[in-house]
Amino acid sequence: MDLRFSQEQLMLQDVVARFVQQKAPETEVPRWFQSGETFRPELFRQAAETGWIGMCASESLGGGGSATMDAGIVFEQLGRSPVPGPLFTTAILAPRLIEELASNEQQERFIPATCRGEIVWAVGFSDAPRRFAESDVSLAAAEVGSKVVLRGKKPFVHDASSADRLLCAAKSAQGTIFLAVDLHLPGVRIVPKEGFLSSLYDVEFDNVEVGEDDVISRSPSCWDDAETALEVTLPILSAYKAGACQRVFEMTVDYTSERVVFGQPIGRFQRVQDHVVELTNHMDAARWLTYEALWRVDSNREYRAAVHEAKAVASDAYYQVCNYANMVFAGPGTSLDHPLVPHTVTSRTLYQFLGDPNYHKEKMMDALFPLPSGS
Amino acid sequence: MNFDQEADTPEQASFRQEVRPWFEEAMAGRGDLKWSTQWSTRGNEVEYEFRRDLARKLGEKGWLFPTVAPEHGGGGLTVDHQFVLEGEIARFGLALSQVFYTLARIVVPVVNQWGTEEQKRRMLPPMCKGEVICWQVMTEPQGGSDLATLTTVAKRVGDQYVINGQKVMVGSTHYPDYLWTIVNTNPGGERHENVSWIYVNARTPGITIQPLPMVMGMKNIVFFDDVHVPADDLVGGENNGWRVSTTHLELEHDGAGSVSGDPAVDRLIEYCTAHSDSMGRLIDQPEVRKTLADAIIDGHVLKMMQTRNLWFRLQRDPVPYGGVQARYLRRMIGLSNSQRFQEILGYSGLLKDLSVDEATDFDYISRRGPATLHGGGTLDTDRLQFARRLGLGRRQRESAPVTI
Repeated sequence: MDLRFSQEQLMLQDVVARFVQQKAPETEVPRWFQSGETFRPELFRQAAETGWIGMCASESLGGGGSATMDAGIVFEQLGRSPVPGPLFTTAILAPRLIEELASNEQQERFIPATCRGEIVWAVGFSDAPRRFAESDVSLAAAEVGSKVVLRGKKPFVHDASSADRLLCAAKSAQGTIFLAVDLHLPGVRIVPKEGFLSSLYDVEFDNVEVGEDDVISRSPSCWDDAETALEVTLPILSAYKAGACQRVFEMTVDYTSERVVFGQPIGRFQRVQDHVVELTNHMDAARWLTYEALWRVDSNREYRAAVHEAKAVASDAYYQVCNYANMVFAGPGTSLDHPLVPHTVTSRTLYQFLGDPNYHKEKMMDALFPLPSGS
Repeated sequence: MNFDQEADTPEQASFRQEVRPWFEEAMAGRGDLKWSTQWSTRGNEVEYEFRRDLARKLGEKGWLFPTVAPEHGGGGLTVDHQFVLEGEIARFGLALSQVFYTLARIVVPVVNQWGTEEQKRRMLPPMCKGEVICWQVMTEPQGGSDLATLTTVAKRVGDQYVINGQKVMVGSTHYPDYLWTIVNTNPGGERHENVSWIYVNARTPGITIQPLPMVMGMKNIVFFDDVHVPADDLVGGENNGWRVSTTHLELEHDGAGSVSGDPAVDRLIEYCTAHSDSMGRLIDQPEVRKTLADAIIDGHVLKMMQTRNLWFRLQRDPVPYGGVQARYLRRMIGLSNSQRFQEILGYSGLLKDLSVDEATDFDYISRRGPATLHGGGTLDTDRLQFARRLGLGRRQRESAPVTI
């Protein structure tokens, strides 16, 4: 057993930490959230140059061939500001789905260009606001000659406005299919969602014609295959949340010493201490279950239950950590310029992304105790 | 990182090859003792004798306190050896620190750190060899969380201390050999600067032990009436007891860590798989699965925190707040689980079941929730200590003492 990072991993962690401090300082990030400019092309380009875009993709396709744990280390640091934008979808999720679902020709066409930072990806699975399930894919895909025609919308797509392509599920007469839709095609309209959320869009399709070469999979099992591909990426997303929790923890602990009321630092008040204690427990749960899940994926151990568990715990932890931090920061923590605000908003937005905690707990239970067939 | 507890160094691997068959032989035919508890509501003498015997055998090999020096009764082994031993005994539901009810797990490291060489040679071997029962005797009726208010006085008279006072809610069913107690050695002195630790032979005249039945099992009241104790048995210096307490309390507050988990949820799963009602098997019902999922996740988190605490302690780099965190979580999760179990099991969640080991008895689990929220401090003192270790509102964080 060894519960520490290796020297190489600590160096990687340090490189990413400095990148985040320089390119996405938390004094700047709140402004990005306010203006909606959460996609930072320059930051994205540098991340690609550094080799983080496609870092886990196969080396033969231009990827980095890195361990899942290393990607976890990168995303843990990215979560600290939190660095917004389509980094997870482009760097990790889309390449993984394409490698699992797409033809060799499509892999050759999409993955090397993605790794070079030339294609930015958004991803859309389920269309219901809450449920993450194949039965809630409703975007209509009509087969017309050699093309697929999309009519309707893909709702709740993260970072769609900055993406070149949308990797999404749609419903054809034969069942679920997956497409890599060029978002620059005529008939595509990207409509921002307004609310207590960040960078969320409806992608509307008005008879958009998608060529056969952009159909990623028509396999009857493509939804299940996509979910399987998704599973190994989940702990990397959890690591992003764990890193975010760590930073919120640090700023909250510092504030308990800096902020003086009634003649003493607020950290001397036991009610305030209680908030930080609960915050710390959530943070550590997210961090350690995520590390274990990352390790399980890399070491070829049974990982399905662990990745869903880590995702459930990390999503809930990020939400709760922000709640407790808000109890400590009170008014100042709700000023739109405060570094806590991007975290609070992101914790809510990401809570739903790729399935909420209840969904992942169900998946964990299904992995541990499969239901009898037919139920 | 490597979460595999058996990812051994070559030296650990060869030690494991020695240890595993030893445990398999020592535990043969005693599967019924797996996951039994040491602070018992049942008073099972057969089990108790087995545990005592196992402790003696382990002590003889130097495996009960592997890293303590051989001249002090330990094994003279490394922390890597200890990690192997902890893992191997955990396979049988036990921990090195809890083979039977004695607080040697705390007293040995404290004496090792604060005692004189003469005290170590005299006091440690019987504890390290599993030969004696040692109770920690701290709480007083007026004290509770405020340990420093203690009014049990030890007055120096020649080469002895004379102790008078009363301690409550201590010990277990079997009469102790030694009492490890904290006393006031300077009643007029400043708070925290007036206390000392002393190791008392429990058969010294003037000691009366009176049983005190509690929800979780038997505790006791200990009366000291003019108890004469050799001055050589005071450990860590007169009026220096509060500093000695840092080592003691770190271990009492779950700082030691562990790799053994809680088997209660495993039994609940087994029960839900075997039992049905009109809606079918319990394990297949959505509401049951939701509640079970929360219990499984909490159990996993707790085990992870305890494993982390053990591993970093053995690296001599303890997680500053790790002990109190694990203790707080253990208690809160125990409380949540007592309700979760009842939600799933209904009335059956309250029933005593002598056909299973105690730690998985639903009666025990439902008692454990509310009845283990104290002991070495309350949830509130846990959080207070936690906050100190995080450095909340302070210039400096309080660090965790090295306890190995």
